[in-house]
Amino acid sequence: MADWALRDRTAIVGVGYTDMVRHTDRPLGSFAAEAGLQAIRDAGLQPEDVDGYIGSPSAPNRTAQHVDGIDEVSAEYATRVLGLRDLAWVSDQRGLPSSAVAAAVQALHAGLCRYVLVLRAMYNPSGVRYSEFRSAGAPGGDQFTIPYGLGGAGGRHAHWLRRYLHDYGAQRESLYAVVGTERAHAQQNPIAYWRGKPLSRVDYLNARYIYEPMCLFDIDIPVNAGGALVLTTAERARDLPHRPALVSAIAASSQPGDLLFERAEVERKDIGVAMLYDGYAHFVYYWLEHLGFCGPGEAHQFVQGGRITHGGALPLNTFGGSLGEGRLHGFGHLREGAMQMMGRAGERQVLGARHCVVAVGVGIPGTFGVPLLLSAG
Amino acid sequence: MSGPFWEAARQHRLVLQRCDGCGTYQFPPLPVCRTCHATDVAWVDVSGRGTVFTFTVMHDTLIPGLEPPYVVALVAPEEAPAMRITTNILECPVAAVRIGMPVEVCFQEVGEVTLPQFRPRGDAQ
Repeated sequence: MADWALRDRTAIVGVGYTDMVRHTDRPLGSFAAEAGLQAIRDAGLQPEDVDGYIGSPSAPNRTAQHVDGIDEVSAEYATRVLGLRDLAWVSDQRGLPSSAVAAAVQALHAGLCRYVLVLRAMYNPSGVRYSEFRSAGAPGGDQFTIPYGLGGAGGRHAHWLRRYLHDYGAQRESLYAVVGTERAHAQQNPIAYWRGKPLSRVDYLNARYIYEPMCLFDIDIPVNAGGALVLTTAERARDLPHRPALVSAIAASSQPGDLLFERAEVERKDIGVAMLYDGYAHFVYYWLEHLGFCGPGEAHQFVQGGRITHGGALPLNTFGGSLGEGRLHGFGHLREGAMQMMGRAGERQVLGARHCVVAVGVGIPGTFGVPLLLSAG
Repeated sequence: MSGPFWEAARQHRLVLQRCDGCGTYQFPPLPVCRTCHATDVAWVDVSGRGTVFTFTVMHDTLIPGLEPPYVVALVAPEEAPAMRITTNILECPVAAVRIGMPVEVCFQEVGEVTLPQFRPRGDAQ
């Protein structure tokens, strides 16, 4: 196919992140400021150099109070706190963090700005359960689900997990290869919520069901945390301190899985490491199949036998994934993908890996998801 | 937009939105037909027969007032097998629910609302 115009033209050049905190009185704006400033300094820049911003202001759970700076962070708040006074491009978006990166890539390529800060902060409310339903009525689509006791995303995705197991003759136990491997990977991640707590097969199989056939450990854990990236053009990246992670391709999961690799001009066999979104464990199956790493219905076998562990043929979610690190809705995947391609993943580094898929979203074809392909600069 | 659905349920009828132009069913209701984009979508009575497409057993819930464990299923109606209706499975032990199980509509009064629900189909047992 024709040369994709955005291939390797932009790069991630700075990374910032905070600890994962299960419950805290610390406002979300504080997490956002810490991550944002760290990313800017990590890129060798000062806040006044940053002239582009994109963040996600909406707290994506039903229990949010939607107070700017407390449980969500708008562009207006973040740019004021960070002192980004000379902005040429700014955007609030409600989507996935990978679509924020995709928007930043387009803004840079179009010449709208020179250095973009991409920021994501996630809030876990105290005193109530994450996404507990507390309204008197159920408007919109909720009127057809809430009266039947289906609240939150977990039950809906448990429907599809049961269907996957039924259609492909898979056992629920096959998911231990994903959950246990990611938990093992989390032991090498200093900020992972589950660091210090590996998960044995027995403990996994004995875990209580939440939305049967989905058990407690098939679901990521809500945390308070912030993450940030700085992007610029590949040309400007040469003058900055770190070896950059190039953005080689962007696609969407409503398109064929081949498109990502065609745009990047990279073959699947050259993917050294992959970050596949795992807010629920079986999303990893969908992404492996959608992206063509295995055939339809084969992922539950593909993940067995150490293939996806650090040292295996296709190491997945080397930071522990959302299941091992905490619920950042895919920002952890972006951060680790960038660190791997920058050669800065420390003991988690996959030696010789030159290309990394970062896929955020559910992964079922036709649903909303934005996979990226990053390469070592 | 969904008023006719709940009014029909009060009368113990299951109605679904169907496009007058191309005949496609859709649920939940939308302001246009998502297949042909016609705006003349109407509510029509359906048989209430279907099969369980998939289900989950809720051992925990984020909705106060409900007592786990309970089943939430997606039912594929006979007239539109690609469509999914969210429902509980009444008159059936939790452990007996299966993918592919034939079911029929029934109605449950909850306060001032009547909920369309599904139960195992008698003639299929």
